[in-house]
Amino acid sequence: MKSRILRIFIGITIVFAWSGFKTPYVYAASCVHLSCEDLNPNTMGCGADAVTSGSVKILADGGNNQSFVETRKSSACDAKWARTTNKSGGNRYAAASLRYGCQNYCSNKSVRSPGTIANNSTVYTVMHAFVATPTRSCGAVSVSGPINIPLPKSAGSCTSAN
Amino acid sequence: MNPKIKTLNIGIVLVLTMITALVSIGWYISRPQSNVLAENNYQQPVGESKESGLNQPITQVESKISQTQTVNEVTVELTSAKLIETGVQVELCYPTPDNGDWYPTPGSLQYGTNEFLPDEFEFISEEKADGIHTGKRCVLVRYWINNVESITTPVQVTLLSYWAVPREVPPCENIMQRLDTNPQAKAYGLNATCSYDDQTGIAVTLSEHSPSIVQEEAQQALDEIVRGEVNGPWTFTISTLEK
Repeated sequence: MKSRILRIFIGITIVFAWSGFKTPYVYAASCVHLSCEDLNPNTMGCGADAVTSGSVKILADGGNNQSFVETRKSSACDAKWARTTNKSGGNRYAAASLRYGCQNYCSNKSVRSPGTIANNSTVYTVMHAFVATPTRSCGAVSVSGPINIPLPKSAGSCTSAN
Repeated sequence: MNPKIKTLNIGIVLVLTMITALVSIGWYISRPQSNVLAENNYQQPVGESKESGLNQPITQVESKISQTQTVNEVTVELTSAKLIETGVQVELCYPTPDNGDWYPTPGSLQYGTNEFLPDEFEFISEEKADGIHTGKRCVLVRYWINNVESITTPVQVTLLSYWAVPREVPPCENIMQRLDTNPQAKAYGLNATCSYDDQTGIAVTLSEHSPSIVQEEAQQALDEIVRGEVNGPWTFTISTLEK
């Protein structure tokens, strides 16, 4: 009887010890909420759990017209940012603006590439705190530049509210 | 051995085992859990709520139109196609080779002599690859068509390819996670080293593979994973549009 109980406890110990020591992907976000404001999602570890918020807007890019802009969000960091991806088939200037605030998205976090970036490359803004903030992301991919920022709100180059 | 000493020994072992189990349980519960990688952030398509007020010439109503197309041994599924206020919306599902962030490259929508480029897309569900099984991602692709009433069937839509957009993490972390969750890489026993330099970019070098495959085969598989692109095109002809 006692040896049976002993075996059960040893079994439980092994199971929990294994579960505890098993190494999952651990995403070490270095900021959360307001402490993420204006910081780089990559260097702060916020990109690890990042997903797209809402729809992805496809942009005219002077090439394949397959470039796009989107709003990215991290639950771990509770923050959002805008990202533009150059999928034009060639080198392009690229820019992104995350718009938020007021009734008409009057505030922004913006970024532009100082030179051209390669096909399949991205530019992304610094973060704005709180994923619940209503935002729109605007993007531009162009053969000429650098692109003026912040990017204006327009149906052709911005996501819908997300 | 003296029965009393034997009983005492068993008792001590039992107590120590219980303490170890309790400490393990406590430690396991107290540690932070890893983030969930997949997310279903489905939102109602823009303008869908106003559809009921439209008077469309295409009146066929079907709950689901499912078609599959296989190109290069990769099967993509068209699960729905419908008229929306701003044009046409199709739902496509494609298999993802690993847990990377796989984005579609949708092609144009055509009917008659008309051709429309995609306007936007939206991820609606995802099953992540886990190293044993491949994943699956479903996306809504929307085409902006000014005069929705002019659309006639059949309508043709194409998924040109899909590709792994680098996450906002260090490039090597991104590629090593993808390698770690790719069933083919697991089956081939692929191990690689990765380095990144701002000037030269990412360099991934094969360090180990299963003896069941030759070096060239292993290198080719690794190159495919690093390239992170699955090419079609997968073309679907739609004879019925949901309203």
